[in-house]
Amino acid sequence: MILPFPKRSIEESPVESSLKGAHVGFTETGSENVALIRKQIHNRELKIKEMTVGKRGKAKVSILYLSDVANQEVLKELEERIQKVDVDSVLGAGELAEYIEDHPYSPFPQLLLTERPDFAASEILQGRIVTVVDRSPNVIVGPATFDSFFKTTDDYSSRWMVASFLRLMRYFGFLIAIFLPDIYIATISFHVDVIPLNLLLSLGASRERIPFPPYIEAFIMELTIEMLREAGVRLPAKIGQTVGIVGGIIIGQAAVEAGIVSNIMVIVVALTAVASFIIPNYEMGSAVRIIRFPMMILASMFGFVGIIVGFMILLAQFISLKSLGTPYGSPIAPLRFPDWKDLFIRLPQWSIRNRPFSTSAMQMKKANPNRPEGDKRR
Amino acid sequence: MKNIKSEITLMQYILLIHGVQMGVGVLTLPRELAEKAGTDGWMVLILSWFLSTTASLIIIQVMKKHPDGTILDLLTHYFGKWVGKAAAIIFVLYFAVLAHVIFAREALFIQAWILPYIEVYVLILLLSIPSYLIVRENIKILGRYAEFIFFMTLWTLITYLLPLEYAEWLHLLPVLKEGWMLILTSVRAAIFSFIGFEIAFFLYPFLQKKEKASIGIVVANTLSLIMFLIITIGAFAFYSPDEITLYNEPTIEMLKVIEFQFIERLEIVVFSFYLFVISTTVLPFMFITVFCTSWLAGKQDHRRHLIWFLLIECAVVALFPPSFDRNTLLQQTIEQAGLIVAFAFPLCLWAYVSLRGLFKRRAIK
Amino acid sequence: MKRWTLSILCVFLAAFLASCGRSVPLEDLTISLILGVDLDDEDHLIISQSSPVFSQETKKNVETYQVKAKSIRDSRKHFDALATGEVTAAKIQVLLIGKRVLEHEGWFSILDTVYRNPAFSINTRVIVVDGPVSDVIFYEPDDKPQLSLYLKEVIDKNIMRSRTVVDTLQMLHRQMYEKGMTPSIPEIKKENDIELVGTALLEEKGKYVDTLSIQDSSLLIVLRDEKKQELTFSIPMTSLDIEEGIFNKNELSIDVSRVKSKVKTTYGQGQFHFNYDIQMTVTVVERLFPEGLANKGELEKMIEQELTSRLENLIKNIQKHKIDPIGLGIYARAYQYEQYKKVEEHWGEALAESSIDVSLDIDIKSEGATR
Repeated sequence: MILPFPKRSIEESPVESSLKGAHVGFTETGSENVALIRKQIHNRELKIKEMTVGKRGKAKVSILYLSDVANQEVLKELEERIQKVDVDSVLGAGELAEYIEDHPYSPFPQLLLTERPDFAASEILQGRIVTVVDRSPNVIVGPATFDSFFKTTDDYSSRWMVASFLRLMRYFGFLIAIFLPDIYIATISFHVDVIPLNLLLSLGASRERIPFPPYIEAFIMELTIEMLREAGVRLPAKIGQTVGIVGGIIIGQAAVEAGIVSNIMVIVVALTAVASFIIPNYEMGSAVRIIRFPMMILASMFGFVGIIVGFMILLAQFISLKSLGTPYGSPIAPLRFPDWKDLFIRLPQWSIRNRPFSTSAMQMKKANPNRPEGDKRR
Repeated sequence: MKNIKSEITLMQYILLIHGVQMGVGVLTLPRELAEKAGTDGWMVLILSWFLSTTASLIIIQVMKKHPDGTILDLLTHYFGKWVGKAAAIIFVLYFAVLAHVIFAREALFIQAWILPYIEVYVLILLLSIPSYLIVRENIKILGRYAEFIFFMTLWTLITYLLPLEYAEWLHLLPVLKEGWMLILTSVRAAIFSFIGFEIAFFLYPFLQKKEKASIGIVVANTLSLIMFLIITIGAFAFYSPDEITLYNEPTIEMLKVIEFQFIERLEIVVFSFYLFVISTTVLPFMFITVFCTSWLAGKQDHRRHLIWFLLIECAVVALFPPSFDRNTLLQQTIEQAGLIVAFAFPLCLWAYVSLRGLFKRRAIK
Repeated sequence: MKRWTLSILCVFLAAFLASCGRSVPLEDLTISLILGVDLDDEDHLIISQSSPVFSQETKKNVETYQVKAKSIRDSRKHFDALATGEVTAAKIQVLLIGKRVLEHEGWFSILDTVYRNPAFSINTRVIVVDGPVSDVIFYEPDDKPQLSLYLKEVIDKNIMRSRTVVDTLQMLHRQMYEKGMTPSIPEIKKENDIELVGTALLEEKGKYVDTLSIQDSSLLIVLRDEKKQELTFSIPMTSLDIEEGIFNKNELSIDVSRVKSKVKTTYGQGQFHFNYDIQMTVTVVERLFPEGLANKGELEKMIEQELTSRLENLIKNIQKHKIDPIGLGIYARAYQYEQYKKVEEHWGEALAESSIDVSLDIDIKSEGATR
């Protein structure tokens, strides 16, 4: 007798926990994952297309979309790409995503992976397409835009001012995580003029004993913290704490006291790390971690000009990337101001009446402006 | 043209033209105007704005006759294959030299103001990387880039207003010091700042809403005029009329006085950021250069041409290291050519095209 | 794609090699904070500089050098020979100029590199030293912070309190080249301590002519209409008929909260006329004589008289020296351009011949918290 496949019960995703959203995560069973999404959108128009990928370990792939909303061309593109994948087996959603991505050589993730049914459902309602891969607790959301990596479900369940503030913090964190170490290197080694005198004197006093040039110092510390971080991910929670203590207290403190790195550098590294943790999507957070290093090299060679050139390269990526054939940088590049209502700040729900332009949905309108208007009643 | 699939929106069209007009010229503009027309230089700008807007409207009128192709297709249509090809070669030369002048100047400014110890050719190599990544795409991407950069760098204008705390507005008085004649004769100094609108020859077929092309180009010119006016009037008020001609780049020099609690010497930061603005001038010129060469070769893909262009650029800079004097000389030469390409050429073409239309209609009758 | 990745890598490598070792990190720099320019007894140019020492092992936290050199740039090679790190001029806070330098015409060309070399900071405060610069630059008081910070603070504070004029390198350049204005620079003196003397006035070519006291400097600022945060005057009320004692009982101090100076420029009878209309809103902050000796109107009158006579003295003094630290030439150019153009090259003389009237209007807003 062949037993039915063993499966895990439904529980909250440890990676994408939320404060106010549903405490439910996808599991490794594709059919259950589809059911979880169907539970959110109980609608006749929610269509499911099924296909299989892989020759040996066939994986069932289900594509979920709203047939009267999702753009048909994008859907066709996605289907064709999945059909073209010709491998032994696809074991996870991330693996499939890498096959069907538009630009595998770009550091930016172009398809969104999520473990949250409510997030997936909200993306379907926006006009996007969700691909469920059997045996993987992640689903692929596409076409993704840059800004969708900075949104969480909590943004919509908390009040709009709070949500906007947090969102601005995330974008700010994104910039800090990429540029802060570079700015440190560039100013210390090229543009000392830029630092005001008082700060300069304390910087000079703290750097005086350091035997390395600033970029080596920065590389040592950045690599250390990346290693600590990676060590913490794989270790069980109890040992993970020890890693934190060893990293934070012993290495940080001792390195400064031994005169290998300056304490300003430790502050810079800590800030960068915190800033990169604030990005809600893991893939985007990792992208930032990688981008930082070439940027540091550029900064150490050409100072501010190097940073600007690095920025230009990132920008070139940002504006020319596509996700399933739709522009990745929308609504910033190409510019579409109506969509800015839900970009850096999230305006109140009722003011966002249309689906984002980037999904090129067939039905743009998603809500009527009606609301109780409690603020206007006496 | 078959490859006109990529289209640009009106705003992209406006900001592309505006971006091409804003560039390295702005850094020296106040001095050049002050040398010619004293503190009345800003009035010269308004006059040249009027001229350049007229010329741009003529360009649009010409392009309307053949809305689905660039100027090259138009010339081929009216004058035959060989004239089209000859025109393409002239355009290639013109835009290539323009791109080279500005690219080299950008590097020279970086060397002078930010990184005195790095060779110019290294900087050109460095700047070639992002340039390649952007120009290899189509006009749509360039449009998006121009749009993004415009909004991203608007704040530099605010920093430019900060030194005005030390400004002496009496410097601007009396208006019309030396009379109208001086202003009329110094138009030549200011008109070059507006050079760049001739890319409309190539942008027009890509524009989504062609009926808005005239309004768009007027808006672009006006936007540039506003920027130029803010910058020149600011510099005239900040510097004494007796000293402004002593500074080579008064626009950067002015930023040196700004100090904050957390940052000083703002000119280094702002000028680094200004590289973005300069890139919106260089990149469209590069794009049009390689667009013309690939049109000549009858190819769709311009990447290979772009690589060759950048390699030649690097080689030229490495073999003949540019200096400010030589660069200025080249700039003056290409500006003369610009007068022909942007002002005389469209006027003649317009006259020809409309006369031809007139005769044809009569012939049919 | 692979080919391109490779070639981009090559570019990076080439660029890396080309630029290697060109950057000098902060700790290897000797950052000049004070630059001194002076002449010795035989009129040789002496350049001095002072910079902080970051090392904690040294006893002193400043290093100061003084060398004989042909120019400022030339002095750098001597400093490099003496100092620990590479000397950089990017953060010079204070430029000290000895009075001996100012006594010679054409000294300004010495400062050429400061404007020509983009590395120099243009916000450096310029200060004239009455006496040798070395007295100031080698002064190491125990009870003061680092000299550069201290000097800058002293000057900035006095500028804020309208006791001397603002003068950065940028402004000095403007004043030197502006034909309708002559330069004026804060002046300090070293006796037991460093103290502010007032404002040094220079003539058109930069030669030293006179020094204004601190009180007169405040008046100059009123005439220039450049009041910063605070402006106070202490005025003896001589007409009040109070017996003199150890304590000057007729002293009255006012705090000027608002001052508006308007100049009307006209030309007639072969000379320029400048009519000053100065309106001051003041608060009485100190009054040593008892209440009831004079009502508000009388007080206002008395202050007006006193200040007007002081202003007129100042103007007379300025006209006597044929200089224009107020910048009236700028007004003349703006409003009487044709006439100004004729005398542009000798503006000081033209100003000396022109008539300058001052009408002062004081409005006492409040007499303070006590009666």
